Amino acid sequence: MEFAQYITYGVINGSLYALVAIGLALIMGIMGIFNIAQGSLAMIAGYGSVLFFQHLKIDPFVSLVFTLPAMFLIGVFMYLTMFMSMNKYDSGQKLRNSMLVSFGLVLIMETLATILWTANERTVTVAYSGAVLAVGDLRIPYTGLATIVLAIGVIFGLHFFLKHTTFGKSIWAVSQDHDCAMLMGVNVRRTTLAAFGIGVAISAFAGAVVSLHTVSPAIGIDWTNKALILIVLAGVGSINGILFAGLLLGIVEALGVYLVGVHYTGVVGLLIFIIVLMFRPQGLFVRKAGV
Amino acid sequence: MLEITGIDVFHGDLQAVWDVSLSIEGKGITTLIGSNGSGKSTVLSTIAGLLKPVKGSITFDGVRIDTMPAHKIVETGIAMVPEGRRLFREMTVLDNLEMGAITKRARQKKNETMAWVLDVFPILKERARQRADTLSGGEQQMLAIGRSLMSQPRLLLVDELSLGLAPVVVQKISHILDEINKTRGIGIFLVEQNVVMALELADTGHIIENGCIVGSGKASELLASDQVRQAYLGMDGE
Repeated sequence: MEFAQYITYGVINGSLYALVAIGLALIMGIMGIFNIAQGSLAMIAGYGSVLFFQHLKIDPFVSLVFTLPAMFLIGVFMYLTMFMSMNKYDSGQKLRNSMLVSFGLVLIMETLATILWTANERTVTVAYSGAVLAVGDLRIPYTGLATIVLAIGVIFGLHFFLKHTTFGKSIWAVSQDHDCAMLMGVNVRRTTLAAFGIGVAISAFAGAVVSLHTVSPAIGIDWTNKALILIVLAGVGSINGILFAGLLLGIVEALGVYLVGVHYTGVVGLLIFIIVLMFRPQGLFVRKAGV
Repeated sequence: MLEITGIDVFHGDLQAVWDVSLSIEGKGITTLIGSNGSGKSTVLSTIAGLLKPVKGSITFDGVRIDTMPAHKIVETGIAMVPEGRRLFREMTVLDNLEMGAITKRARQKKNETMAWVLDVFPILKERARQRADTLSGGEQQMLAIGRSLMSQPRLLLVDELSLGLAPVVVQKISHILDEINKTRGIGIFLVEQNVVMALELADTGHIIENGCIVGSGKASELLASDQVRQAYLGMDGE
């Protein structure tokens, strides 16, 4: 039964990985912008959750009503000031430039967080933090359960938004053919701005969950690393694949912990990263290589 | 209806269109013919707003449109069928059509227009739930035209209708375009390399060479003229 317990934790961790990666996948898939700062944004959002809890005793899942719009506005600001001007470049140049700029943002956010909130680790301890749901011998933390539900909800919500609403379809159309979407009458500037804002806003979900674990200025790049592994596993442009990639990484890591020991978690993750890059570079959940 | 006055258009540093003036009458079919790289597609992209003229102006029913962004020009009643179809490949046929009716004006009558478009191109009804990239070339061209019609245009710009299509398919689609023009009163401005097809379909023709208009006239007269016969049909002036 111990084995099943490990897998359960793997699924919970994997869901959190997916929550961090989904914003990165959305922004990269739709706009061709490589936003390395996505993990740092989750870190900033995590501090938001911590502060709301410390000062106002608001539960991290409830304070999403504040952190979501706040992160959206941060995204809009980032896009207008830094990324919008990159649209004039070809896609390769845009990818490289955005990577460099967002790497700078990682450093800025980490330093800013250290100055504002010190380098100490912080955690939100809610009443249900230690509570578990017992299923037979299996013990599932309520916070973990919430993580899984949130990851599934966000990813399927996003899928529904992109494929079944008018505004979502415009975003999807712009991602397929920027100029042609414009010819149809899509306001491409407004649409990409909103898409970037949404991609960044999603990091608020990750932040809420992260705040229940550990928040410190240094976690940003760690979360981005996980997100990048997920993007490679899922394949660039695959949004639904992110959830499965997250679960795969989480479970493989858990198996690593079970079989080899906790110190090798990172190694196991990078190992499947390399294996996938070697044998299926287009990703596991993309049917054919992208054009 | 559409008045182009002395436009110069550049691709980067390269000037593609030199002082072009054209007047396109409201109800008929007009064509702009020329060889590859003559600047004809550039003229069309400039009308649609994807490119901006550095000199001159374009007005549509008296409203100046060359200063508008492309997505606003659609709302004035100009729709473009882009070269190479440019469908939203990952979307279904229905979603593609729906994207054509994204403007506020078109959205209000979406269902009506959709019914009409599916009536004009019955094959699209059969393919309704298929992904656009699973269609044949001819079906894709029909979808591209249908998608542009969804915006309820008064003037339809068509870029290289015949590109990569079998002659029999080209004939079928140009027949449908003719019908749309006659029954719905939608003006058509066609840019073509297939000179015979274009001039047979159109009422008025213009010839463009190296970015300059070098001839204009009734399509039937152009088709019979030495200028066209020698330059484009490889015939002697007999």
